[in-house]
Amino acid sequence: MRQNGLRSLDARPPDDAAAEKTTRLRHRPASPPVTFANADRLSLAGRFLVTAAVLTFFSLGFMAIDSAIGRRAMVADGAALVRALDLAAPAVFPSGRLSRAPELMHPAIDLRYDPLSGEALQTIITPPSRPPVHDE
Amino acid sequence: MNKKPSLSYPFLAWAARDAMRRPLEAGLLAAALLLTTVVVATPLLLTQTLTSNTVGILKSAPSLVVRRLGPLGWTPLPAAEAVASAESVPGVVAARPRTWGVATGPGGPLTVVGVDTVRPPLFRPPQKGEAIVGSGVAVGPGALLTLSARKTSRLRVVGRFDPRMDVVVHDIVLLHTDDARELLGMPPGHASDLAVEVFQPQEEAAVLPDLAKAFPWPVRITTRSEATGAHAAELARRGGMAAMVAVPALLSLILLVLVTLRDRHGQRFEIGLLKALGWTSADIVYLQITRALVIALPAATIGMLAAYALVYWPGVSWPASLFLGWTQPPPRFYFDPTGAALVLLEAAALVMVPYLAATFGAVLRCIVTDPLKMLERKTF
Repeated sequence: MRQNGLRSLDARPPDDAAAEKTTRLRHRPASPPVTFANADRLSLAGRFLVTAAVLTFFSLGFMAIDSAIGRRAMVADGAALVRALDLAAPAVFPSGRLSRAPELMHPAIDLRYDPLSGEALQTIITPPSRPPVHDE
Repeated sequence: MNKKPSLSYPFLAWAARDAMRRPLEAGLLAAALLLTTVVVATPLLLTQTLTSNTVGILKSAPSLVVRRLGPLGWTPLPAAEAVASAESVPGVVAARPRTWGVATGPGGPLTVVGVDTVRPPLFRPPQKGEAIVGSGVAVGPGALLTLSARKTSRLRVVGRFDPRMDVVVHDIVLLHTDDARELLGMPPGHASDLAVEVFQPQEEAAVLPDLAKAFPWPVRITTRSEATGAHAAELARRGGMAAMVAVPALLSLILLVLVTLRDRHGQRFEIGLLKALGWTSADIVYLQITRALVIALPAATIGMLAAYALVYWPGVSWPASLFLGWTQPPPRFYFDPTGAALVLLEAAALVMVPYLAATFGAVLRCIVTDPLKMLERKTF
């Protein structure tokens, strides 16, 4: 009965079924080759690594190229303008401040009493070997 | 694993995979390193760039500036007599009177400079009643500009300097010398001070005694190197104040190091397992250092790029308002990035070296421990 039952499940002759299985195996798509990248699921890590390397080299390359190109011409143009106008200070600090034109410090004001002067303490403790300005 | 590993792709990928096992932790670590690099590098880079660019420009400034000193302070000097006195001193190549001062303009104080001729002829100097303004003066060409100093003057704006020259002439107004004298309340034939040129920079200090004696009135003489030094000192002082921003960043760096030490301590089981599987101590050190570099190197370089862009992006104006005290429209800077590489590398090393040292120290502690003990103290 059991054998009959099994036969009833697979009505085809055994030779035909075996042939079909062989054909199916023959036409099954080939499995991908086992490489390091897909072994142990490292492909994602590889992509992460490539992204990190690209970002690193892009950043370094951009800075290197931009530094190499530089803007020396602009500094040269600024220097030419300073020479043409006889300026003694660039416009880095706002007008009207002593940091813009230190020579405008009133001679009656002793620098030792200027709390913003970086040389204040040094002047009190050790007089400079050569005065920064020359009065006669 | 007996063969000494090299930093080849498989090893790097293995290290990257190890870092990706805890993506949130790795991402936060990378973000912390990136931001710390930005915060540390930006003030350093800005100070270095401002100083180098300013010093570069000031190399073209007059060798000496002579100002007359009177009982009430600075006094205008008679231009022709001052020039003759200066040129009588051996070593002086040229002497030119300068007429300049500070006047109140539409947006605040402006520097007024009087010119008759421009040498070399870069542009046509302003005629009487005309003004050429920097980009920071809020009056366009064709409009009338009102300036107030000793007197009030109304002048027609005939030109505006290129904003790329902001570092030199952002808030400068060029006038005819007569207009400048009238505005600043100087008598005719007088000048604010005298620009003196010497042949060699070394002569600046050498001619000082003779030059001071050559004038029939008391003078104060400022050399170019003193002016440059004063600017550099002021920039360094402000740079030091800006660097205070980096103090919390350094605290976060210490925290990062402590977290790294604790993290590696937590991975003792894994290291013990690897040793039990036959990995050598060198393999484990390579793996951990590579893992740290895979996270830290991109973070540090992107942080360097961000700091670089913050400082060197053409037309950047935030340093002037935040760092240099500008309240009126700030100048736009077009800095030359020459010399930035060393500062950026220093900042990146300041951040990366403690992190890598913490990683290395923690791994060294692990690899000298018996693997069995590390496996027994299982910690996930």
